[in-house]
Amino acid sequence: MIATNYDYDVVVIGSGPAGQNAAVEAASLGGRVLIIERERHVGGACVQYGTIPSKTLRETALTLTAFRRRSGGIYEISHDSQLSISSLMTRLEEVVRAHQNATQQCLDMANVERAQGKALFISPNEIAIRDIAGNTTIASAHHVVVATGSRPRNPPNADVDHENIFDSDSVLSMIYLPSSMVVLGGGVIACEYASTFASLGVKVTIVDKWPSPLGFLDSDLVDVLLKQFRANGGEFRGDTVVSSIDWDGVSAARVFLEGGEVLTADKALIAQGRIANLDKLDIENAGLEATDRGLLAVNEFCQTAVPNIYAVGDTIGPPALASASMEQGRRAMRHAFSGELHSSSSLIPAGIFTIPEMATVGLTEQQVIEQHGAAMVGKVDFGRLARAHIMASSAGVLKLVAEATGHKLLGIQIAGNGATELVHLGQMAFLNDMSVDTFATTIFNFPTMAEGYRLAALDIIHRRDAGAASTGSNRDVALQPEGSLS
Amino acid sequence: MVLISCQAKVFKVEGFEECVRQSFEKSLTTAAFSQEIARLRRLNVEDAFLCGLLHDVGRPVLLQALSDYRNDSEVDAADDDILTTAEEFRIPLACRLITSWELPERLAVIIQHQQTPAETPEFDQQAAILNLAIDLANLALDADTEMPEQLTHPMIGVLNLYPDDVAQVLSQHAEMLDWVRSTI
Ligand SMILES: Cc1cc2nc3c(=O)[nH]c(=O)nc-3n(C[C@H](O)[C@H](O)[C@H](O)COP(=O)(O)OP(=O)(O)OC[C@H]3O[C@@H](n4cnc5c(N)ncnc54)[C@H](O)[C@@H]3O)c2cc1C
Repeated sequence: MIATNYDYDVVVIGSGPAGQNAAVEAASLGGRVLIIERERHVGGACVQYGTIPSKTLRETALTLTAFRRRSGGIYEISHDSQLSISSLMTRLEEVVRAHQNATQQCLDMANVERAQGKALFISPNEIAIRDIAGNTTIASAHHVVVATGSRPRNPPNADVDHENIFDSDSVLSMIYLPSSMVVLGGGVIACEYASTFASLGVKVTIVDKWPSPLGFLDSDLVDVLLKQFRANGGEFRGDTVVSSIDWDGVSAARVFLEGGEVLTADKALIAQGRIANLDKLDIENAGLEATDRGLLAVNEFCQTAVPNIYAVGDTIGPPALASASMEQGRRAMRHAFSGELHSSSSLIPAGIFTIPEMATVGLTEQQVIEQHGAAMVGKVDFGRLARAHIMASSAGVLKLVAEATGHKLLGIQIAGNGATELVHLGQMAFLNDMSVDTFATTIFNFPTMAEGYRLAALDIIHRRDAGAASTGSNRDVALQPEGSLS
Repeated sequence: MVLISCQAKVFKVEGFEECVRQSFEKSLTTAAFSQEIARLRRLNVEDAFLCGLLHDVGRPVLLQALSDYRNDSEVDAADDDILTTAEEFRIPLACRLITSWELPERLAVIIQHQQTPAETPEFDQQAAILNLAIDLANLALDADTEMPEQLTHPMIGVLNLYPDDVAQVLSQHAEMLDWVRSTI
């Protein structure tokens, strides 16, 4: 506990994954903690608009596609043109409630107090809380954690009406599955929704200014996604600049491309990145300033330029993942309470819940080449894994990236069913500093997808033994700026 | 579609033309407020609009049926009796009409709970929107009352609308009324 004259040791603004973990950590370290949330329920955008709802819809899409695949074409699933989205997410309310209740219980058990209202800074140690009736109360704290998350960045040339032209916070308010949809953006959220809707039979066109989507991944992984997306009737239009988007007033969303072409669809989804919720916080009263990208700058312990104020989660930018946000919340409070100077592992896996899904941990092949001059890569196609065949899911690749001599493991990338779980096995190997050879000599259950690790490791060992050249900096991998969630 | 077919028929209810016109005007205004609140809360805008539009559809239909019956039979019913009966049964009839028009069942559930949103088994947010929008429409259409900049209403808490959200919705009333008048 920190001895203070303040009302609280810590005030946390925002109850998403970042805020709630900061609050619980601070309380478990003995602090008196207040969490301020403007919504009626805790959990953040992650629960209301983000991770949980999108994954619930995706799960149905997955079930339908798996059924189609596994039945070997014996059964064909069709749906009428008025299939309601809510009928595809019947469990959503249950899933959301369960998550909100679990979060609330966690906060209650840690004795974290809660205030409902919009918070804004009066000074570095004082926060005003405005409730829905317009009343203001003030709470003072030794430490303040800004965990206000983010919202969609909607370009000025798009008339997002949440009726025909949606953003990622409103797209699931659509009642019926449209027959066609244009998705603007090639980042994680755009690709997740695009591939989910395509799997559900919607004719989806992704339009993006970059030559290929998900530019922070190696292109061979992205190819796996695009192949499946195209097989589901999807189209990716890269290198394409949009001049404006509107609704024709009758039946179609129109996307006007530079060059004069006009794409039309039942609905449009704009997923071109997110901006931090800082604008209504009066951060200048606390001596804070947003960066050019509208984020808060922090050090490795998530401490801002004003030492008693921490910022975590989407307010500090990439990787903008719920998983990373949780860790940032914990790390910030360990630093605040114990001055802990050792950050725990900074190894953050990224799961991309496209269909098929993708995951990565450590460096990509391109990053290894950039940072180490060359890379040795071992790959296994899911088509070589018995388990993948049994699951009728043989489209995929598992890729181990090692330094040029092929011993030290530097990155793992996976595309295909189960990738987001499978990557954790590699992550544990990283954390324990295991070499490529460990995977070749370890016995895994058979038939399992983990066998992929062994085969990919053997691929590296084979190259190593054959004196094969590692991939060098002249390798042609399309590069884009490192991706934030968009 | 519903809008157009209602319009042609209901204006002919002899003796109740003004009442029907008012009902229609209020429904359009409610629809306009409903869709703006839904947009703000990231709930489905089309559904909200339809619920606003159809929440009172039972009234003109009842007025028509009751006045036809009075004319065809020799029942001696006062206009006030017809108006009272229409008021009493307009909501259940609206729900029946929605079902018979094969519109989605959820619209009937929401409309059924327009006065009792807290009692709805599901779609509580949508019913709260409709309840608030009806009152906002009444306020906006009341020539003797200035539209306020803020409001206290039990549904504001249910919908988690902050003063700036409420102000945003209220500020659009003049535009909405222009649209309503041009539609009628
Ligand atoms: C469609 C979509 C899918 C995603 N999928 C994944 C995924 O699969 N895996 C993953 O790891 N991540 C995913 N993410 C990202 C993840 O949701 C975010 O990174 C995460 O929610 C960030 O957590 P946070 O706590 O920083 O912010 P949030 O979850 O956004 O929470 C911030 C909270 O602060 C509150 N708030 C804001 N301003 C104020 C204020 N002034 N006063 C009081 N309260 C305030 C908000 O109401 C909100 O509850 C996805 C995001 C989206 C949009």
